[in-house]
Amino acid sequence: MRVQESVNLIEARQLTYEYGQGDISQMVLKGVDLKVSSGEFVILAGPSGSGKSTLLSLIGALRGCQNGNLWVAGQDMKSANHDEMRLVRRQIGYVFQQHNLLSFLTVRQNVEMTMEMFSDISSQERQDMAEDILVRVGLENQLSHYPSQISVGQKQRVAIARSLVHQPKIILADEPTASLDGKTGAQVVEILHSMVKNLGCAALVVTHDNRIFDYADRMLHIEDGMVTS
Amino acid sequence: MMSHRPVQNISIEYAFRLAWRQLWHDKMRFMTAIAGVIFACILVFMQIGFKNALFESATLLQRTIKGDIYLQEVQSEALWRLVTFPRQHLYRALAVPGVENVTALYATQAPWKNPVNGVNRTALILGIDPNVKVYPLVGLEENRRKLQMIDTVLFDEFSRPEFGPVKKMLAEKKEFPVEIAGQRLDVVGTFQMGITFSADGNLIVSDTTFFKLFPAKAQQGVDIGIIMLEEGANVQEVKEKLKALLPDNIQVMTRDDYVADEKAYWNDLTPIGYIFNFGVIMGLMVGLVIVYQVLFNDINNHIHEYATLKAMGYDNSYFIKVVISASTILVFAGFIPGWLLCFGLYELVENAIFIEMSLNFQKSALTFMLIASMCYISALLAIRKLKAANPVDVFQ
Repeated sequence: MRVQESVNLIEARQLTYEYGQGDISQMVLKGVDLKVSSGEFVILAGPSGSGKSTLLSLIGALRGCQNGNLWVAGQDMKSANHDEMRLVRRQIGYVFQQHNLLSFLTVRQNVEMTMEMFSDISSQERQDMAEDILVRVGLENQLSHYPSQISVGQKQRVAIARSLVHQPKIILADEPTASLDGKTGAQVVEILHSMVKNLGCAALVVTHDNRIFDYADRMLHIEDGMVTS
Repeated sequence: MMSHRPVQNISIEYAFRLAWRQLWHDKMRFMTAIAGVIFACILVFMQIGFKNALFESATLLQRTIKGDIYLQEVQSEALWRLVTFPRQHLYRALAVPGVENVTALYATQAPWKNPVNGVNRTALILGIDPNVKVYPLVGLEENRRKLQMIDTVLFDEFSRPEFGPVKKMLAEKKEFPVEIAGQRLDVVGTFQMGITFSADGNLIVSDTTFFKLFPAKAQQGVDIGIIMLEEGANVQEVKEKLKALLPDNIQVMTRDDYVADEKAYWNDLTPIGYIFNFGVIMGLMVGLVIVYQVLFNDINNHIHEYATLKAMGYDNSYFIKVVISASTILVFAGFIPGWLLCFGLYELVENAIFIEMSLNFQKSALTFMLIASMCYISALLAIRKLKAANPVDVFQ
């Protein structure tokens, strides 16, 4: 792994990305420059089709880089192979629009799954860490509940707990309040914000929800494949 | 912020646990899958059992006779479809070094009239030289002297009950008359052999009685030639010498060849072998479809969750382990009850058809391998769906 000497956990320089080839190609990112440092809670806003999801998937190590440069958690993503990308993904906590919890696992088991990817966490530690973070998101009474037995807002809180339990370096959140009502959405972002600050990780949150803009340390706008502050 | 040490390959233990939790959570579907495997298991066990019973019963006599080499006309297809060959060919064998003795066995099918209700049943009648000790059948030795008398017959205790209460009548009268092939013979004792798919009952008479019953046979010659070798003689060498000596229309076989020849008839020349094999395939196909449906639906119903886990850092090999683990669970959860049920079913069938059906290790191992293959093929087919779990999609 080639480590970039920088405090920035996410850094993009003139990052471009296009879908298709030749005449039918479409450039969705047109030279993105971006930096997010540890402890920062950054909100990325922009209209549909502006390239938000593509940018998140590149930062999330879910697809390979084309042109420009991107470093995520110190890994040069342009030269990263399949295994290196997978290792980067394990240093990222993902929060999606949909909670995508496994219906056949309890709340605690869903959170514990994140830690099965790490060899230095014992079974007992897994249980303790899962319980601890679920208490912190206010779900101490739902540990043994299945996803079908809890509310949508509670499911999203489980998803946040799942993404943060292994203390990742980076949090990527894609419209985390989209499926929630205003009050629940605010609670969820409040939890996400406070935990990011406690852990000192870098958070990049994509949202249309202007009610949560106040939580941002920095606002970025993306439009037509270009990011502006 | 604390960094944990990532593992290259997530333990199979975790994959197995996830597979178990997934199957156990939807108990109705789990039970359906198990029922599918049990169904396939029972069908395979029964078809293999029937086929095995067919082969075992069909070759019972061949496996019992203590001959070393057997002669048969090449046109003979099976014990019940024999073509005779000239008797002198059997005696010519005596000139080959290593041959100690020869004897002829005659066999044909003829009607036996039930001594109680007068209904005819077809029986396999074996004509033997009562002085030759190559038939170690239970009861034969005790009745050898009685069989030397003309017009006497020994009855197989394992014949179907439709032949009449022969053993009980013998206990009461010591001997009694019956009608075989339209002639009167006296039943003087019993022996134990067992019925086959081609004969519901067996009788043994002396060769003299046999020729009296079927005079045409006496002129035609021998049905089966049995050759006993001297101690230490090389069976293969003597076989080759006999083949060189005898005309091409005489088939020279070792005991194993003879058993294999009879099996080949039932397996290749009758539709029965094909039917049993087809039954096995049908059972496996039904089981395969059921298990595939369950495994496929488990993947399909959680495709977004799997994609999320892939985004988090789980790789495809982990989910392959999950699917393989689920099929392993189904193999054992279905095979064990299916195997236990078949003990009862074998006994039930054995009592109904009067042919021995034994659930031995060989059959159990073969069925287990077939069921395991069925489940793992289902898993391999279902695994293709895992490709649809694309982590990029979770950001759409």
